[in-house]
Amino acid sequence: MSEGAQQIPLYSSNLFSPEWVADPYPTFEEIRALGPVVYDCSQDVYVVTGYTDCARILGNVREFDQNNDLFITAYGGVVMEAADNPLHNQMRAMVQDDFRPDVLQERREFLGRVVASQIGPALERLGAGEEVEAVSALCRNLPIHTIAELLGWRLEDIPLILELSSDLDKVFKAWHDGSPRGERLRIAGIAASRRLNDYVRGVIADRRARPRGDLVSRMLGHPHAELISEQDLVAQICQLVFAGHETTSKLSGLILLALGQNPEQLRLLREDRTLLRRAIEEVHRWTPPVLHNYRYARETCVVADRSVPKGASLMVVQAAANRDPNRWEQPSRLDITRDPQGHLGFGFGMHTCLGMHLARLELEIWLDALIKALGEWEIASPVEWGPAGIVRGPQRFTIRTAS
Amino acid sequence: MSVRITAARDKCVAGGACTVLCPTVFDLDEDGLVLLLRDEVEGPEVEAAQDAADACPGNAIEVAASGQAS
Repeated sequence: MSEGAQQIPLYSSNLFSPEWVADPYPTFEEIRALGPVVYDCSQDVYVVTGYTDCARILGNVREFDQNNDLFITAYGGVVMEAADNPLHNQMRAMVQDDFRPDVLQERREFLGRVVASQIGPALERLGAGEEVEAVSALCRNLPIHTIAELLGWRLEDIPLILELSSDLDKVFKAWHDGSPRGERLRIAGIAASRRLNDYVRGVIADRRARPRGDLVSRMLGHPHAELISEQDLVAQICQLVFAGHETTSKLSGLILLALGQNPEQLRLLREDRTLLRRAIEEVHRWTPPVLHNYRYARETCVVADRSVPKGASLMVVQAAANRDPNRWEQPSRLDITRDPQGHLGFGFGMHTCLGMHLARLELEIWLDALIKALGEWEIASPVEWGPAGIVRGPQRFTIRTAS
Repeated sequence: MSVRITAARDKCVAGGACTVLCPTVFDLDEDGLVLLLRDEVEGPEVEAAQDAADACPGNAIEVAASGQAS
């Protein structure tokens, strides 16, 4: 370490406790107050909370490596989210066109039908004055139907895919948790990942024999398919399912909660529907489902004028960056009229979320339908959060139409 | 050394990292797609432009030594 380098404060977190997952933000502020880089002894990671530092680390793939082991454990092979170039660009080019904003506009009508069929029954019950469990009735089904349709999967398989995707998430929840809890979660997660791999292998075999107009067929027919191993292709498709479903459905739950708990913001949105897209971005800034990502220092490097050793794990806390007072005024305040552009909810740089425009479009159509049908809603029960991890969202809570 | 910069709008995915990392060269239009403010830079901006190219999720940005036949 050079003489001028600043000391890095130590911290011992309990980032996997039920209290933390219910509200991680006081912990992030505690860490921020210690300094821009804090060494967390309990996880053996360097925690980074500032907006500029987080963006710089995520955007700088030359100095900071993705956490390949985590993704290989979760998906069973190398996926673009963890790959360096040229492999990353080769993999991303195979699927990129389906996720372009202009191409996605053609899916508007389809998404409108999925929204109507998936949440219509719950909206009727809410309209009749019933209380409804929001996550299962309003949040879980839309993203999985969307991604399953894109990939050309059978609708009757969706319950199985949902179950496996939820269980696969346990690999992420267990990462950096060396306790027996972590071990239990890891084993369950890997088992689910293997079953999802098997399912995808079946789909691939079918599309090889009978190509269709779906994304799996397009991936198999892409010139880059020859550059990718069979196992990595399987893993990549599993990642599309998990990332397409798990994060979007959790963000939809967070949107319902955020607006239900901030009725003045919901009223504002109801009265001016042109704020729809901005409101979704602002909730995403304020409470992103992906709290953080890990990166490795390829060499000894400097983060916020502090020296971080080669090989160190960095916990890049996007959720904290999104509330950095140097970047946003009154960052802890949900304000759907602010311009939240540049928030790190979808990541930053080369590994920015492939499906961000699809998620935005899905959520826009979904939230518009909710407001049209319900006007305003309120939270009618305590919120259950489930186990803590990288991806955070409510697991169960009840809502009712506001009186 | 000066470099020539190209940005392929048909590959742009509206991620916006380029404008954060190199705001003197890259801007976004109202759809969030990349706009080039200049197509040639030199000096300290070369590194910033290269960072933007490396951080582009759509592989849309190229930075090449200028004055060379392509």
